[in-house]
Amino acid sequence: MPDLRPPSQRKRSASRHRSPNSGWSRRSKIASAVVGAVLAGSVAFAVTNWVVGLGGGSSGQGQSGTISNVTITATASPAATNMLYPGGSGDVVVAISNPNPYPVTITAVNLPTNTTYAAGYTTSDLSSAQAGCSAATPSLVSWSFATGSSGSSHTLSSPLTVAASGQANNPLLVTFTNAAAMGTAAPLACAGTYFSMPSLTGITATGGAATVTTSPATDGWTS
Amino acid sequence: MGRTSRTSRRVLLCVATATACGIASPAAWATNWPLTVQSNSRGEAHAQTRPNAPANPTALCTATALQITVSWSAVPHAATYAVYQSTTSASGPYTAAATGLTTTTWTSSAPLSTGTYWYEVTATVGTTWISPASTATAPRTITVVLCT
Repeated sequence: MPDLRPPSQRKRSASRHRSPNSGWSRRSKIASAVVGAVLAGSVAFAVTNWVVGLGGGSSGQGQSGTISNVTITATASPAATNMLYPGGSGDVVVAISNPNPYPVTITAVNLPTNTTYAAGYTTSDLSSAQAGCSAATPSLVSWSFATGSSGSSHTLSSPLTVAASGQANNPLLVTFTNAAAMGTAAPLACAGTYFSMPSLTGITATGGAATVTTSPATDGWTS
Repeated sequence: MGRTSRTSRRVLLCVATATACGIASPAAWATNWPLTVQSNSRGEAHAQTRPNAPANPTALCTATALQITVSWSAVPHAATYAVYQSTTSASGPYTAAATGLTTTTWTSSAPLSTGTYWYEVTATVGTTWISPASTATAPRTITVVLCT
């Protein structure tokens, strides 16, 4: 049926009767922007496991990802050649595992206090405690350059990039040169002992494409 | 109601696919997300064994002062040495003649009393890791006239 109204009225009618789709499109854009802002805002907090996925009942395609903790474990191989003695420092050997589907680059480690001591063991598999050389004795073995405050950050001499999960060089074997220190009054019972170093309190690391570090690697911190 | 469910699907689709809305993918998000380390993450270190006894201990008479100079080889990482003296036999008993030495040579005070002397040496790493005693030096005898 033709529109017999004057032109001025037709224009107003057109503005009143907008397409339902254009109105909903602006709202959905605002909603998605809000969601994106909330997600971006949580970047400031470290996460252990974070999953992006589709809500129930939704249709269409999508993808999901996780951000998981890096694991650093004590390892006997390669054997430390620079060994501890009272008043001196020695190497610490670790295996770094990255469970994420992308490389992770570590640039710093966070250490416990300088009075948090290592426990001594009779063998390199760290299975039998060494009498007279425990953390409580104390062994006087601690992380080099640790301070009186827990969580002090120490920059690595070179960033370490651990390959994505399932790729070569993951776990990454690393010798941290002179990363352990032994006090001058360490008990004689600690001579020849293997030490499980105190737990790290954190790391500085980010994920993303990078040149992978080849195992075994050598690194450390000097302050 | 139909409009609400369509909006929900569009919002969720936008979040999930990410790139369609100009937002980085999860892997790229990870570049800007700090990672942390699993609790109980640690490493392994190894201490050297008890220091060895100083090697090659020797005792020599000084030319005229009726003194005996004892020398030995350095022990790695040793902070100090101690010299022990026996006037009975090579197997002792020994008493401390000097402690806290920071060099690998020591000279007795002058003049020594007449008699025969044997010496042993120990090394200390730090303040508590004391080595076994060295082998005894050859005997040195002080007489009124000569030191032989």
